[in-house]
Amino acid sequence: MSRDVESHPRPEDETRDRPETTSLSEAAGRGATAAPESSSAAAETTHSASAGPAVGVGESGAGSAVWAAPEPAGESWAPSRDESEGESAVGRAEESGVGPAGGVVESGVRSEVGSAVEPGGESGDETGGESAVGPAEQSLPGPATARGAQAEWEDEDEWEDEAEWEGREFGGGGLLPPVAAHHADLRSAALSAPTALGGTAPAGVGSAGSWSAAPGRSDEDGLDRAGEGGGDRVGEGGEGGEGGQGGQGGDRGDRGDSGERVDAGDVGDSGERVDAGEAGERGETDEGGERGGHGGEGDGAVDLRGDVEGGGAGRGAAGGGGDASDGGGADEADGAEAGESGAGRRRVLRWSRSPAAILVGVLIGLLGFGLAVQVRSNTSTSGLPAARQEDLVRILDDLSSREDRLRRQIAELEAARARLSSAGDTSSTALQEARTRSEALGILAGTVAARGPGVVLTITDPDHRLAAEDLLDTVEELRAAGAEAIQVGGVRIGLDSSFTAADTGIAVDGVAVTVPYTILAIGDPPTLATAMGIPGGVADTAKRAGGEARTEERQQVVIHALRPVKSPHYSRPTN
Amino acid sequence: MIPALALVAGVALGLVFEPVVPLWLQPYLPIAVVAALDAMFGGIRARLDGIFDAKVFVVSFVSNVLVAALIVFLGDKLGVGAQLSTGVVVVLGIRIFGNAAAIRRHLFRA
Repeated sequence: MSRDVESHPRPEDETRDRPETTSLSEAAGRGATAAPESSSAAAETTHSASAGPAVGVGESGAGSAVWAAPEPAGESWAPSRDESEGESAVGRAEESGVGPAGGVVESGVRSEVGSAVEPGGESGDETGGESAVGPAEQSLPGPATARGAQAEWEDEDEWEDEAEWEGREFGGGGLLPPVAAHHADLRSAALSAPTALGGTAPAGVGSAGSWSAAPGRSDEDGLDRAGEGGGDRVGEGGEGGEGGQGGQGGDRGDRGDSGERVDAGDVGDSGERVDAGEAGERGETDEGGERGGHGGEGDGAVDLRGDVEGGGAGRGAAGGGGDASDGGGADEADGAEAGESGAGRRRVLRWSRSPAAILVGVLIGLLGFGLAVQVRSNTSTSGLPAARQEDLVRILDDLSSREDRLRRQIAELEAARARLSSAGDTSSTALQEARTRSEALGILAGTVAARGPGVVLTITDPDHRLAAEDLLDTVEELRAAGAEAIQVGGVRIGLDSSFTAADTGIAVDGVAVTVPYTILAIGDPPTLATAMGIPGGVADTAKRAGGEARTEERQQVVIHALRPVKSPHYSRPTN
Repeated sequence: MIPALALVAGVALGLVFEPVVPLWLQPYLPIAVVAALDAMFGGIRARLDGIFDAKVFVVSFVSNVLVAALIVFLGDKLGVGAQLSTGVVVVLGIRIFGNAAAIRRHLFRA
């Protein structure tokens, strides 16, 4: 039993969505009488229809069951929107399944119920099975309670998805699928499957709940529900295309048969197998069976239910017979509602394409335009023309204070520049001066080469009778005459020059000088020459030694020899 | 869909034509834009809530813009234009934040 159910459900899942939706359209067609319409309208009608059946079942089953149902429905509703079709269907099924299970258990509490529960568990393992159970329950409760509400919702909300959702949910009634399979009545089977689900669930619920109570309700509600259920189912059947539609009107009779047949056998089997609850119900209540029979006989719609649901049959019977007739009215009513809802939606759609929508578009376009213009103008200009007086005053204050600050800064910078430039002048002058002084000192100290007017003194000493002292005297004579730079041989004369006797003659600063001795001196040439020729001077000394001192005055004397610069060891400048 | 296209078209037109904002309109355009943004977010929220009504939207859009501009105008006349402008922007900003939060909850459920 469970296998059948389970196995069937899956195939159904696929087929469910479409068949139902299509069926919906059919339903719409019925409703069409009230509201002839487009597919959207049909979708809505289908929703309502589906809801309707569920309601019918729920009522027949038990008040408690019905009550419980509403919540699941709400849950399933929300999920369905979010999730995609296929998945969402499963998810809903599960959710709803839980809800229904609970409802069944509570209401039922019977052995049957227990069985019903078990099936649920099994089905739970398999998605198909669960979903089937779930859908049934869901569809039942949801439709019953929320049915009207849902229809309204759909109408109000423009959600196209809703129709699909509902269809799915109904389809969720995977329970039915088995039935459908049995019948092998084509899509009707598939279609019927959803219904069957709904029916099954209700049946289970009903059985679970309290049949005794159920009958009463079924009767009472029966009419209403029957009507609803009929409508819904019919709608579903419409989906099926087979008995569903027939179920609605006078067709019910005929189709009822077909529906019954299919379901009857199937339902009976499937219901028993699948739904422990149903089976239990049946077993418990012959009434259910009877009812089912009635339903089958009387109403195609009922039959459908009965067929679909094993238990459903019982219910169908309950609500069925009596309801059947009612069902017609109910269906019509549903159809009317569906039509209305469809009309409402159409109205919405029309509204959405009406001048108002265009006006909305224009306003939004204006917003974008203004936005762009404002951003542009704000970035392209300073915006002063648009500024308020107080803002302008503040801006002016800011600017003037900034100007003051900048002027002060300019004055400071100019002063700094003057200071720095003057300092630069003095430093350069000082540098120049220092350089000049260093050059002068360098010449005097013999650390730099020098050139200028002077004399070239050549002293011959064939007998080597001149001594170091004689050269020293000569140098001192030249200095006294104002010589600024003196070179003896290859040695520059400085403050610490020394004249010593050497093996080869005379050494100046340790460097031997050879005959003839050449002495270069820079100074006033006539003065130097005169100084050399004074009596008892250099010339006389050389002559006495057997040599000769010859003095040439030159306008250009170049002294290349340098003295090494010696940093003072002990002395330090006093500053 | 239409509003989205209209928004894009409006922005494109504004960028292409770069119209000069009239002097008398310059103080009010920024406030008007903010008010319109508020209305737009409210419309999106209503749409997501499934209670969108074009008539309500149009009325709220226009009235938002006009009231915002009126407040700024009165503020200018009273010598508190800057403060009132700030107030309007703050209020509209809070509303926009609220609507954006609702939209976010719709879209991300968080």
